[in-house]
Amino acid sequence: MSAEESTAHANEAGGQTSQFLTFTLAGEEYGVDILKVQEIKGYVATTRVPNSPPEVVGVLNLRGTIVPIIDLRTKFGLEAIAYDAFAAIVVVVVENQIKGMVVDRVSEVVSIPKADIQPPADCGSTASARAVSGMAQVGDKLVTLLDVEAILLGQGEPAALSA
Amino acid sequence: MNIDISAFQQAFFDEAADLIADFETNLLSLEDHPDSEELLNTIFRCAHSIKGGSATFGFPAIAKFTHSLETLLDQVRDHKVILTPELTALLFEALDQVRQLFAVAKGEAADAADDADLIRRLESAAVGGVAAAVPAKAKPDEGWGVWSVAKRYRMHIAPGADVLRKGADPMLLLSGLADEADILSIRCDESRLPTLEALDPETCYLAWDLELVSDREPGALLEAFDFIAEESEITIVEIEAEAQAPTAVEAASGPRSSGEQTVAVAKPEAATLRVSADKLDRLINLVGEMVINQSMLSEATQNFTTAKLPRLLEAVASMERASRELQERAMAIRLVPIRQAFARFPRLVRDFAASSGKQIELKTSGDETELDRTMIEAIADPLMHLVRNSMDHGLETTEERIAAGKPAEGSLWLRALQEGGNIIIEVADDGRGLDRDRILKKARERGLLAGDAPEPSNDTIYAYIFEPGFSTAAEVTDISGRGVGMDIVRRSLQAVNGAIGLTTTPGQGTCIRIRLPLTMAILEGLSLSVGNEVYVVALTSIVESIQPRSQDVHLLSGRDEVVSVRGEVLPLVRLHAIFGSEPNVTDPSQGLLVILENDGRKAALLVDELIGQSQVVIKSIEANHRKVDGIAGATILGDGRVALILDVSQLLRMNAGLTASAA
Repeated sequence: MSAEESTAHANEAGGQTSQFLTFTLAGEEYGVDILKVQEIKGYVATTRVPNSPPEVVGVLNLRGTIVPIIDLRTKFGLEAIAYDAFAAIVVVVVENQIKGMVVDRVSEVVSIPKADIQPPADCGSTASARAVSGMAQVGDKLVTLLDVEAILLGQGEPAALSA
Repeated sequence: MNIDISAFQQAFFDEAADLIADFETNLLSLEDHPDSEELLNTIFRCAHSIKGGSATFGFPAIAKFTHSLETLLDQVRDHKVILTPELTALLFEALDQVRQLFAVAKGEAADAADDADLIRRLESAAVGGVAAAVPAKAKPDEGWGVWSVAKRYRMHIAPGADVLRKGADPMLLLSGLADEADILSIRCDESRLPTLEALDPETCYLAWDLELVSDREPGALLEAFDFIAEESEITIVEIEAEAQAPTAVEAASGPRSSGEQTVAVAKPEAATLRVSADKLDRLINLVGEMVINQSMLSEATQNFTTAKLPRLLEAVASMERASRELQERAMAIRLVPIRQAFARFPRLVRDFAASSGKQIELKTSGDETELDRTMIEAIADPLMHLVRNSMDHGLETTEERIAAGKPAEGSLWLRALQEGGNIIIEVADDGRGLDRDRILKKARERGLLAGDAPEPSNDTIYAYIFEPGFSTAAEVTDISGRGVGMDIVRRSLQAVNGAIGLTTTPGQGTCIRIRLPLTMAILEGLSLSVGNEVYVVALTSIVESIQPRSQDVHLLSGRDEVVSVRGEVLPLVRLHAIFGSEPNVTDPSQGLLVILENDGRKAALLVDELIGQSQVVIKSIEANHRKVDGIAGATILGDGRVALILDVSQLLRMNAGLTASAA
């Protein structure tokens, strides 16, 4: 099912829907609330910031604003890869702070009816429970919906999301 | 009054602060020139404006107090009261009370001292003078002091047709008037009201005639209408006086000239900046120039052919010039003369001299030097501290001075000057100077210097007084002067990227030198590289850059790397080690050492290469990220990349920490 179809499906259902930007990370599909996303840009080299947590790959000049860039793979304890031409930076605004997240590739924008969002699977890890706000089946893909605030503002340990 | 007015209160506070400062400056001059009519008039005008403003903006306590002050000043101005030193002292006391009242009004202080006694003394001073100079005929009181003299007024208010469109609400103003006066009768004049078809709901057609009783002067009542005064017809006539000579006061003749109210539109809690109209005009002209440049550029690039190349280049060059100037001018808006920070000192010195019995002459220079406004605020307290220290500990008593063969009157200098991208402020005295041996002894006692360590240079010794805890020791302050909270002074200056140092000569005096960046937003920086990373260091903290010989680098006790630079031994800081970078150079004799200095502490920073010097715009990392150790901020290089700006003072401390933890 494509994005259009899922939108149509949502309209048929008549319930409330939310839009999510989906992207892939190590073959898995993730989604973030589109209202938190400011923009998407291709991956460009960043400036390393010393004495920072490992997931902070560096800072970037975003039209005059210094924006920290967080590698979601590192954050989630996934294997690091070389960024290719598909790698993208999803720039989000959380609590008035602008931050960028590096993802493998950006997929699409999908509308998901609220009713279709299931609570996160209980994996026993509190860290992952905090990072995931829900799961939803979109077509044949299972999308893990992320809570960007919890990920980007939460201090410390990798969220260990490896599926 | 109403919300309408509260939006302007901040502007009033700013203005009042200026007026109070003027009052004080002129009162100080008046002490030396008691006959000057001009000074007296200025002081009177200040008091009058404060009174008028505070009544308008709803601070009756201030208005009441300044009224009695004004009455007294009026008597002095009319030569009915002679200006004596006692009277001057009373005026100073009154001025402090006004300040206190403003602090309460702004919510900075909880409560002001009860001023009933002070008002009584001001009033009796005024009346006493009258009795002595002009027998019996006391001037009729204008109102505040004696409440029974309320007068009846007839007022006509015809707001201009446009006032509604400008956001004024006559209803609010009238209800505000009711706060100031008892309205006996009010009649609405509807004669200008058109038929319903012709009525424009945004036009004001109404006018009012009212009769009221108030103890205020007509001028004070009119001030409530200041905001619509220009386009409106507002008159006020005292009814008793009407029969003889109508004393109509024009609304526009309020104490504040409209030119002074430049930047008054701000929310009450927002900090406001009073910018001279001149600076603003130049800025606007420049923006106009930019727009023209922009159209030149568009024109040159449209249907571009090589023939247009010279015009394109010219347009780009002119755009470049305009944008650079625009940046400078925009920065200049934040700059204010340092006079504002210096203004409080004549009074401080006067009061201190009076209470201590020392004779002190304060000499200021470079009052016009401009500094970022936030900087002025940041240095106010440290400066105060330094001046107090100089007077209290630096300068000797008159007897000591005479005994030492010096002029009886001690001198205190406050100097400001611009030096490159820095502002230098010096607080100097011709007092006894610092006691070097005493400080050295104290430093050894406190463990700042190992007991057996060789005696460091004089500069290092004197720098100890900026160490925390060093200063509070009573014996040091007694013997050598200086010290209470010098570390606090240093820290507050560091917070604004400033540095402090001193020179002293025993028996001849001490000079404390503060170095501040011109603005907080732009930094003169040196970019340097470590591996493929680029960092920027503020030029103000760089002494020099050298390439050491390998025999100059030593390992102290097998762990602390030091380098000897022309006999001076400095700790060697490897930037790559602190930041975990991959350097191209690890051998100091192959790389470059940048000698850094911050508040008397020096170190040599090992880097790969120096890239160049440039002005960089400081951007915050903390805004979107967090504070990073050793990093003061970031900047954007010409190619759009981000370079980090080193926090030198923290780096030096971090290095000290590394060395300590390695031990």
